[in-house]
Order: sequence, then structure tokens, then C-alpha cells
Amino acid sequence: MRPADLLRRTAFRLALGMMMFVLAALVLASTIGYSLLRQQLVIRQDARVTEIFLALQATSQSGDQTDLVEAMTTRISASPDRSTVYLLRGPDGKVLAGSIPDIWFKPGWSNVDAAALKVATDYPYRIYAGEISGYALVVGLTDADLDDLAEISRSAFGWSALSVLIAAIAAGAVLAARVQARINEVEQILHRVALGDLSARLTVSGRGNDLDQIAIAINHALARLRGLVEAMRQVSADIAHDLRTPLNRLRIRIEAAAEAEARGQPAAADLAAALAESDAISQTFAALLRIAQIEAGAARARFSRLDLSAVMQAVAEVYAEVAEDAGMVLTCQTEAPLFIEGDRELLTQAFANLIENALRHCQPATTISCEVSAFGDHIRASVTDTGPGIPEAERENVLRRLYRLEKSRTTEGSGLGLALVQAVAEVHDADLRLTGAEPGLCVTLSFPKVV
Amino acid sequence: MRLLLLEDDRSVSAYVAKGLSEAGHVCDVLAEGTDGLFQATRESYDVLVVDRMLPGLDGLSVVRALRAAGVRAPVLFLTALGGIDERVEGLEAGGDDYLTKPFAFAELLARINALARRPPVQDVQTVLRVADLELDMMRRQAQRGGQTIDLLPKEFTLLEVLMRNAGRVVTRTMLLERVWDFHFDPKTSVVETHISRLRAKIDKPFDVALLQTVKNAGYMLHAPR
Repeated sequence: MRPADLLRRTAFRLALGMMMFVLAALVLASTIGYSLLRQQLVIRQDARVTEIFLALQATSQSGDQTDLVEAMTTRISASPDRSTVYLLRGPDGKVLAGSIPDIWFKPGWSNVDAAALKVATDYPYRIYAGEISGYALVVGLTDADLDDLAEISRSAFGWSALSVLIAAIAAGAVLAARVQARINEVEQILHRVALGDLSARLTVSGRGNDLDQIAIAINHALARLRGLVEAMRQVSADIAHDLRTPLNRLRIRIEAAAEAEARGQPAAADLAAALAESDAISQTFAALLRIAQIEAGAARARFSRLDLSAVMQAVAEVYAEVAEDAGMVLTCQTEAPLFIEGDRELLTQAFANLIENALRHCQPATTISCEVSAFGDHIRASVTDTGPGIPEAERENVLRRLYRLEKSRTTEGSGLGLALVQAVAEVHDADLRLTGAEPGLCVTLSFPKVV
Repeated sequence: MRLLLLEDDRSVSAYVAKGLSEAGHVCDVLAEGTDGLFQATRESYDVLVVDRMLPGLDGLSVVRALRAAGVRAPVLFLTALGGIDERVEGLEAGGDDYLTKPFAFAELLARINALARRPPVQDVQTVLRVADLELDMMRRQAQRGGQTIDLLPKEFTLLEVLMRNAGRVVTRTMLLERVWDFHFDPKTSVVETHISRLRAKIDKPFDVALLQTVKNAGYMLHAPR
């Protein structure tokens, strides 16, 4: 990885930014801490100077200034390094005692350089000048502690800044590398997808972080994409498989008609059969197209709030007499009204397909019951018959396009009825379930309830 | 009747034009959208049959332009696109009916006939009559020869559609769409069942049958000749 690349990595840039922020905070904190400490030290120093000054003043209370001079001499000798300095002038301006040259200080507090006092240290002095019954008294204390404090603050700041810097760079590099590894993975996976491998999936670490969420979303999108592509592939395979056979039959019929015509025999029967064959082909084709369109999900744009009970009742009403003519009984029980978001036309066709399946696959005396009822947070629509049912092992298969239980395909039917119901269910987020009704078959669609 | 057919597939247009002229109609054929638009605004036609996919200007745009220009002639769309969205689009653009390819000629002819004699909206008939059969739209009541016939709501609608098209063939698909709002092809004998129930009520008790089955086409209600 080149340095310029490193700078472009989001994670590294974030770590770097964080580091800058921490450094700024450190500078601010050090400055505040330093000035607070310094303020405290100055107060304490001033207190000591005041204390010495008052002590000397107390010595002079007796009225005899010799005591004062003596006390000062003692103090001066007690501070040979001249960290504390003194100066006493008489009322005539003559120096009576002192450890510093005779300089005039303004009364009150002042800060004076060591050089001005002819003392061989680098530290400035804190001076208090006052008057004791006509005598001028000067007491000073060096600021060595303050200077040390500045020094300590500086080095403390330097060391902590350095460690923060090292920690931030290290953490930034590690984090950047970890995030980068996952970003690289995303890049690689998407590249594989672009090359046509729709089964590629991102690994999810399971930590539930934002990258995991992205990975889950990408995987979900890939799964959906794969489903759609699979469906397309399935449709083309179905068309190839299921339309070729009838196309072949159509061809044979037309050939037969042409031969009959050539021999001077009537061709009408063959032509009528050819016409029926071509109608069947175009019906199968239309059904396949319709399923593909429903699966593409365009119908969602037209969804509206509708009463599922009313839809089922309307369909059941149409078929009640058809069932009666076939010697069956069709009943419809609905809880009114139960609303869902959906497309009336598609739902009508789905319910019609379910009822027609029952009508076509059951014997007379069968009862077909249609029901719509609320069930928890779902609305269930079901069509149940007391016919032969579907073996459990076959229930998954019958939902597939063009799948028919009788392999010979002698009876009418395209094998697309339930596939269409499945597509309608999917576009409505409904769950399609086939269960045994002992005896018979129960097909249930569970729709999410509209709040 | 004078018809305009806009269709770019020559074999389809030749077949349809031949069929229509055999049925006694005059049919002009154009294969290009813009030409069709000009022709339809210049001349007056009873019905326009327009393919959705045309070279030049597509069928939807032709019909939109015609409607904007105030041409009121009924339009029947022909299309290879059979989706729900396409049908809705076609009707929204100003089409009156819709037929998906491949179609049977009988179906096309029945739909053209139904469109051509659609009564203007303003003079709504309140009582429909075919021979001695009467349908009172206001009182929702059917009578034949002065005898009241009890009809279920859907039977009433079925009879109404047939009576409004009296003397003309109504196909199975047209009935499915107009009576039950079914836009798909049922695999069971829905139409046959309901027609036979209706027959039992309006024809069976009487001497003369009014409701006829037209082989390979549909049903027709007409007075005895």
C-alpha cells in the first residue's frame, strides 16, 4: 500500500482526524492546568513573602530598630543562595542591611529579574516593598518553583503528545487494515458478481456492526437478484421445454392437413386441431408472460386498500353455480370486511385459479369451502376441498411452473395455475401454504394486515 | 361501416382487411403511425383499430394526439403486450377496447361491432327491449311477455350486456370482462354455466328462444326473424 493510498483510506483518515482532535484537547487541557497551578503557586509565594514581611515588622514593634537589623542579618545568613533576598534602608535612605544592591523598588508588589539583583540564577524574583515606621523594607522570593512548573508542564505535554501520536497512528493503521480488508472483500465479491457469479456472498462477522449491516444488505440484494435471474432462466427453459412439444404437434397437424389437401382429401379436421393447438400454445405463453410480469413486481405501483372478503365472495359467487353443475358444493365464509393492500385483478385471478383447480381435480360430491378470516396480525384466505389432495412429497413441486402431477399430460391444463397463485402471493408479501385437509387439500394464503 | 386499420404487419393487416370487407365493412389500412394520425384526422371513421407498436409514431401517441385533436371515433388497440399495465395505459390514452395478439378474427369483429354501435353517453336507455323481453334499468327488473323474471344481480348484468348488443355477437372473453371483470381465461365453463342458467330463466318457459349460441364466436340475443 502506497502512502498516498493510505491517506485515501477512510478508516486511516478518521484515525488521523481523531488524533488531531485529541492533540488539540491535550494542548487546551495542559494550558488550563498550567495556568491554574501557576496561579496557585503565585498565591502561595505571595503568602510567604507577606509572612516574612509581617514577621520582620513584628520584630520592629518594640521600637528599637537594632532588633530588626539583627533579625534581618540572621535571615540573610540563613539564605546563602539568596533564594530569599532582603533590603532595609533607614529613614535617611542609608542601607542598614541587605543581600541585594541598593535599588529603589516601587512600593507594593513587583517582579524583578535576577540579573537586576545581581544574583546568579535565571529565575525572576517576586518582590514586596513596604515601610515600617519610616524604614523601607524589601523582601523578595525567587520564582524557581514557577519556572520548574513550566518546565514540568512542557515535558509532560511533550511525552503525552508523543504517546497519543504513536497510539493513534498504530490504532489507525490496525483499524484501517481491518476495515480495508472487508472493503476489499466487498470489492472482490461485487467484481465476481459483475462477472456473472451470482452465488458469491459476503461473510458476516456476526458482530452486528455497520459493515455487517452493509454486508447483510448486499447479500440480500444478491439473493434477490439471483432469484430474479433464476426465474428468468426458468421461464426460458420452460418455454423451450413446454412450448416446443405443442409446437411440434402443431407442425405435424399442419403437415397432415397439407398432405390431405394434396391427396384431395378434406383437411378441415386437421386444421381445426391445428387451430386448437395454436390457441393452447398462445394461452401457455400468455400465462408464462403474466407470471413473469407479476414476479417483476410492477403491480405494486397499483396497489390499493381493498376488502379481501369482498374479493373472495365475488369469485365464489361466480363459481358457485359452476360447482353445482359439476355436482359439487361451493361454500364461502368470510369475516367482513378485512382490508389488505393489493391488486384486485391479480387476487381475483389467484382465487379463481384455486377454485378451478379444485373443480377440475375433484370428483362430484366434493365440497369446496372458501374462507377469509383474521388470524393474529394476518388475514388468511383459503380454499379447501374434500377431494383426492396432493401427496405431501409433491406439494413443493406443484408450485413450480409447468409442473403437473400426471406426467403424461393428457388432461387439459397448463400447469401454471398454482405458479401464478404463488407469484401473486409473493407480490403481496403473502405466505402460500398447501396442507392436507384429511381428505383433500387446503391452500392458504396469509396476507399481512393493513394497519 | 368505415374502418381504419393501423398495423405494420402486412400479413395480419391483409387478413384482417379481407375479413372485414367480407363482413361488409370498408377498411383502410396504413402501416405507419404519422400517416395514420393524418388519415384519421382528415377522414371520418366509425372505428379505428390501432396496433400499439407502429413505426414512426407509436399507437398510444397516435390515439393521444387524435383525442387531443377532438377525434371521438372509438379506438380498439391491438397489441402483443398483454400485461395489465399495458391495458390500463391503452385505456388511459383514450382507447375504448383492447385485444391481445394472437386473436381470433371472430373476436376482433365482435369487438369492432360492439364499439361502433355504442350509444352516445347522453341518451341512456332506461328500458332495453328485444322482442317481448324487457329490461327495466331503473327498477332493475326483467319481464318477458308481461311475466316478471327473477334474476340474480350478475344474471341481470349478463342479460344487460347481451341486450345492449342485441343482434350482434358477444364473445366469451367480452362477457368475462364486462360481466365478471375477469381479465384472464378461466379453465372451467364459467360463461357456459351462467348462460345456461340465464337461458333457463328467459327462454325455457317461452316458445321462442332469443339467446343463441354462435359457434366458434360467442352468444347473440336477437328477436326471431
